[in-house]
Amino acid sequence: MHTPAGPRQGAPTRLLRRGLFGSALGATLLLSAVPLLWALTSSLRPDDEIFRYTTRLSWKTLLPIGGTFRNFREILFEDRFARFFGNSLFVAGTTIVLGLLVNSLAAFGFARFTFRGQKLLFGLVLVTFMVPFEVIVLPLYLVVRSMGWLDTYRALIIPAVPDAFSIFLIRQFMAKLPKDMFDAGRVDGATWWDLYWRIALPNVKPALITASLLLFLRQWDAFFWPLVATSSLELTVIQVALTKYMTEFITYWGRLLAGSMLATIPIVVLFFMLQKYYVQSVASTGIKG
Amino acid sequence: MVEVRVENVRKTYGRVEALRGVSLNFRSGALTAILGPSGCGKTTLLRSIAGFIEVDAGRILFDAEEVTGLPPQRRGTAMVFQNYALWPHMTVFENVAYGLRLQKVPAAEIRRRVLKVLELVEIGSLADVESRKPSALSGGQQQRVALARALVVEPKVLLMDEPLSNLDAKVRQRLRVELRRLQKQVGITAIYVTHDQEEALALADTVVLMNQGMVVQTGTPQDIYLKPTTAFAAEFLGVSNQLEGEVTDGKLVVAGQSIPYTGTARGRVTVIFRASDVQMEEPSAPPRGGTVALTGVLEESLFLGAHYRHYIRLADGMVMADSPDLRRPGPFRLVLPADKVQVYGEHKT
Repeated sequence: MHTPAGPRQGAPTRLLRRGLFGSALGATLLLSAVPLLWALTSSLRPDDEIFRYTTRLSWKTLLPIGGTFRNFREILFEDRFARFFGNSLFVAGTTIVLGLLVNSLAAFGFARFTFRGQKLLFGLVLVTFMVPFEVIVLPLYLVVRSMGWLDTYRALIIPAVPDAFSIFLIRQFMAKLPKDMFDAGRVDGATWWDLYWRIALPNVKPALITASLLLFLRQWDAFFWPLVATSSLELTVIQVALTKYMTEFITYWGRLLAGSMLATIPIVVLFFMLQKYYVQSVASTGIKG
Repeated sequence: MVEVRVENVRKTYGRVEALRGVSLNFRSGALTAILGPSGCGKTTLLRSIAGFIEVDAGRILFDAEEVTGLPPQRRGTAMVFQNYALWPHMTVFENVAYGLRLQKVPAAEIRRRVLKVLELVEIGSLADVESRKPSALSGGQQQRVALARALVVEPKVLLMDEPLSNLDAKVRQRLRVELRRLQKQVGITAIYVTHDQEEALALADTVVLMNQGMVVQTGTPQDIYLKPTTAFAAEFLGVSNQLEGEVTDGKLVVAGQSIPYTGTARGRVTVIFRASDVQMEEPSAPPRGGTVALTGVLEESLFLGAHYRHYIRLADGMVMADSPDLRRPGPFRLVLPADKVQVYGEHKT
C-alpha cells in the first residue's frame, strides 16, 4: 500500500534544530580559533601594541594594525631561533627514523612469532605507555648520565625511540595481514628480514605514518626531558627556547608569540598532509582490531 | 618430477591429534587430491609437506631426499593458497617475479619467464595486466596470478590449499578444467587439498580421503566413488541414504524388513545406498531377482531441476529416491540392485 509523504509539519522544527546545532558548532570553532588568531596577529605587532586592544574587544583585536615582521626577524636573526628550530627538527626527524625501525621490528615480532611469555611481554610494553613520564624521569636521568650522554643529541633522541604506542599500533596492523601472505614469501625463499621489509612494512603504511606523526609530535613538543638532559645553548630545542622569552621580570610577548607561531607550522602542515592515514589508524586500533 | 612420500607422520595440537600416523605416496607427475571434511587434518598434512608445520614424528621424503627438518624455502615446493595470498602493494608482474628475484635470476630472464608463465595461465592481455595491482583483478584472475607465481619458480612439488573455494561456482568450474590442463602440460607432482568431493573427483589422478587425522581410503576417483570401503567414505562421497540394521543368520534386518544377505559384516551394521539407485515401484509389482526391496510411504517430493527428490518414510527412518518424474504420495516399493547396497560394520571410519 502506498503511503503518501506526510505533511511537512516537522520542517520548521528541523530547521530550528539545524540552526541551533550550526550556531553551537560555529561558537565552538570561534572559541577555539580566536586565541590562535589573536596569537598570530599579536606576533605581527610591536610589543607595546599587543595588549592595547584586548581590554575592549573590537575588530582591531584580531587585525594587526601597523603590522611588522620585527619579532620574527629578531628571533630568527638575533636569537638563533633558527638553530633551536633546526635542533628540534633534527631530534624529531632522527627519532622518527630510528623509532620506526625499532618499533616496527618489535611489532613484527609480536605480530608474526609465537613464543613463550609473548603475552606477558606485550602486556609489559603496553603498561609502559600508561606510566607518566615524570615517574621515570629520575631513573632515566641516572641511566643517561651513567652512559655519559648528558648534554648530547643522544640523550634527546635515544630514550624517545622505543615507543609502546607505536609498537601497539603497528602490531595491530601487522597482525591483521593474512598469514598466507608471509607463507607465500617464505616458500618463495624470502628471509624473515625480506618478509618484514618487503611484505609487512609496505602493507602497514597508515600505521607507520601515524606512528611517525605521533613520534614527531612528542619530540617537537618535548620540554621537560630536554630541559633536564641538556644545558648548552647549542642543543636547545624549540620548546625550551620559547621559555627563554619569559624572564623573572619581563616577558618578551612579541618574540614569544612569533616563536610559538613558527613552532606551530610543522605540526599543522604534517597533520593536514597526513590526516587521512591518522584517522585510518585510529579506526584500526580499537574498534575494528 | 619427484615422488613425495609421507611416512607415519604425526602432529598434535594440545590434546588434538591432527595427524595420526599418516603414510602416503604421492606419485611423481600426478595430481593427488586430499579430500576430507573440515578438521580432518588435510591442510595440516599439506602444510607439513610445505614445511610450515614441524611434525612431531615421522618422515617426509622427496624421492630419496628427506626434507622433514628443512625450512619451506629449502624444499623446492610452491604453494597456491585459498585466499590467493598475493602481495597487494606489488603489481602482477612483481608478484610473479618475486621468487625469481630472490633467486638472483638476471632481469631479462625474469621478464621472459614471468611473461611466459602469465601466458600459460591465460591471464588475458599481458600488457594490460602485468602492471596492475591484484586489487584491480577479479577473483579468478587473482588465482591465476597466484598459480603463475607458484609455477614460475619451477618447483619440484606444487601444493594447493583449496585454491578454488573462494571463487563463484562458474569460475570455479572453468578454472578446475584449466588447472587440470596446466598440471598435465607442466607434468609437475601436485597435491591438492579440498573438501569438495566433486572437485577432487574431477581433478585428481588419485584421491586420498582423510578423516580424524587418518587416511580412510586411497584410490582413483572411480574407485573412491564407486567402491567406498567404509561407511564414512560412502557417506562423505555423497551417498544420501543411511540406515541402521543388523545381520543375523544370513539375513539383514533393516527398517523392520528382513532381506537375504551374503556379505561378511555381522551384528549391528550401517546400510548405505544412493538416492539415484533407488527405483520406485507400485507395491503390487512382481519381485525381481538380484534386487533388494523395501516398502515405505512417499510423503514429499521436491523438484531439484534435473530431477525430483522423493522422501519416503520406512518403518524405521526416512530414505530419499530420485526420479525424473513426479510421483503421487502413497505406498511404494523401493527396489535396489543388490550390488548397489553397501553394508558396513558398526565402526564408521
